[in-house]
Amino acid sequence: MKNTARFEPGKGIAAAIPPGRLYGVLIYAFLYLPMAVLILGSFNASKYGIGWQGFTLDWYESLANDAEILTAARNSLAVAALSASLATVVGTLGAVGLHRYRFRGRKFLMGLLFVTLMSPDIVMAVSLLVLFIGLHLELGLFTLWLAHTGFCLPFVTLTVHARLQGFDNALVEAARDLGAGEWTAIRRVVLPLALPAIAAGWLMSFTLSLDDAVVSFFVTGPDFEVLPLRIYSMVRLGVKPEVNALASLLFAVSLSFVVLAQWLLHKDRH
Amino acid sequence: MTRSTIASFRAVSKHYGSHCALRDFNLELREGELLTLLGPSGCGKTTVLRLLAGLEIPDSGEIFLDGRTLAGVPPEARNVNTVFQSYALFPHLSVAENVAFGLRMKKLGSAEIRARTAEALRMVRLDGLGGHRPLQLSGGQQQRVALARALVNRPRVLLLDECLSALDYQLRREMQLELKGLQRQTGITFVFVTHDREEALSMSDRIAVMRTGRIEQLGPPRDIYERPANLFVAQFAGESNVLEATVTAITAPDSLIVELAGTPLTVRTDRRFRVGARLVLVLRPEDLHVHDDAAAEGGLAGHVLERTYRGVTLDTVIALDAGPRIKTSEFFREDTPALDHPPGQRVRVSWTPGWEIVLPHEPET
Repeated sequence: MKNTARFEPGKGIAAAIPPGRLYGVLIYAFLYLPMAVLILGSFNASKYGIGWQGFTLDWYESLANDAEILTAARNSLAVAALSASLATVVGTLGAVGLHRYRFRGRKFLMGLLFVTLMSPDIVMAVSLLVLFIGLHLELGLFTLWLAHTGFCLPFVTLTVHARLQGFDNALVEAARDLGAGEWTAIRRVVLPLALPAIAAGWLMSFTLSLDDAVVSFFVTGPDFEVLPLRIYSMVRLGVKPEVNALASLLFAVSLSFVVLAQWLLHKDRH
Repeated sequence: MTRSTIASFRAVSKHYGSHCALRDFNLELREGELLTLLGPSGCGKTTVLRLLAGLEIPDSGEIFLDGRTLAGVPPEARNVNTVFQSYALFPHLSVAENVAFGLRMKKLGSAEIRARTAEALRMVRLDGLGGHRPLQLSGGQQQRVALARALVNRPRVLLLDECLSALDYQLRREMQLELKGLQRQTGITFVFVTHDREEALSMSDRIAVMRTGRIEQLGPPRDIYERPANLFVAQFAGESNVLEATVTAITAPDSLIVELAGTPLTVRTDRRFRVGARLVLVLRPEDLHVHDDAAAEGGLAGHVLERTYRGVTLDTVIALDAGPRIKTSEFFREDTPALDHPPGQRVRVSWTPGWEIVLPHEPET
């Protein structure tokens, strides 16, 4: 009965758990407890989230009946799909180019990708806003699309490039040797092999775009609201259970996309 | 038999950055031959293949295939195919789709593609495995897929880049025979790159021994082994005992007396030497006989350092009284008197007159 030791009176639970493991448990609790509470709250019949008052789907139902939220959701999905697609096309071409060709400034371009990856959202948001205003672009779907494509691009390029680096270089040469032109070799050999990374890049871009609040806040106009901004305006008046439900849904979509992306990237490595 | 030229390199040079891979390189490939490029790594032998395949562009010089220049012809438009060292099989395609790749690119009809793919797989004894993925196959099988994928296109020249080096010894021997058989059967010109001299000697019609971007000697295997052009070729082509000697007299146009650390020896050579010239004798271990010192005259005296039983041969390392050590490799035969010389025993080493290789002395490089 080794478990009994844990509950000896006078000794706390902490005393029974090795310190290393306790540390790990605390870290994970810090990371995941808020999310668990949020998801639980979305199913809690209690309006103010105090104590468990039974299971309910009411909050999800009221989300489905909220026209503003539905519009924002549609907008968000449209921006995410458009941005992910454009970023995937441009990013994949970029990755193929960086991988296949050796040219002056190649390393510099690679470095710039990391800069984009690391630069603070707020900096990107403000600079894009200045750019769009300077170009007299109307803030809305189009500017969101451009901005989101911009911050998704390095993720796609780096993911696909990493995948291409893992191939035998002789594969393209073999295709050429067997009669395939440059473009045919890319289409018949490089792209099929890179496909898992391309799909993963799209999925990651989709979730990045879906979750983005900072950049979207700056580059969208008053007539085009996206989900994270909708949530933001909802919580200004206090956290309503509908917000829990909406956040839980976003979390579920993001999580499943990320899991799918990781699976695509690792399924054929042993 | 003289065969017509199928491809030629004329004064071709190729640099990679500051490294010179080929310098002023000339080579004529003959119709239907199996030519081996033999040399240490970095000697430029793979570059020769890549230039012919169009995967590299020469800095200067020209390459011809069937009398037409290949300048400006991209790899996909050249009627040559390569078996890559890594095989480079397409992992996302089945074995049959790999083999059919070249035929698809030529836009042949699907019936013809199917028939030729099946024939190629049969030729390399892989019928029935067409539906597998390359990574499901063993190394030897992958090698055959690579071979079938290239041969199915009926290239004018097939280029094989160290393609046996990843296989284990037994399998490599089998594939050597099989490659030779396929070459005879198809009549296609093969250019084979290797650093394995045994492979080169046993498979080739001709061998080009290469060093630092140049051909040191080009000829049939027997010439390369028995009449090497220089010490590099002699040593690269086989196990060699290298002894330095000085010419003391010229007794006939092809016969010299040399002195090897005090011991006079008569040697035969077509080369011209002056009295007093330094030269090297190259003796192949398997050409040497070891005799008991008491029972023999002539040859070189020494004592046994080490003996190694190798099944087919008994190898002996002997320290010559003259200084250098030499290695002998004797076959077991009924009439061989006493192969068994214990370490320390005094012996004499002899060889059939004329089997020594006589080369001019080269300053150390």
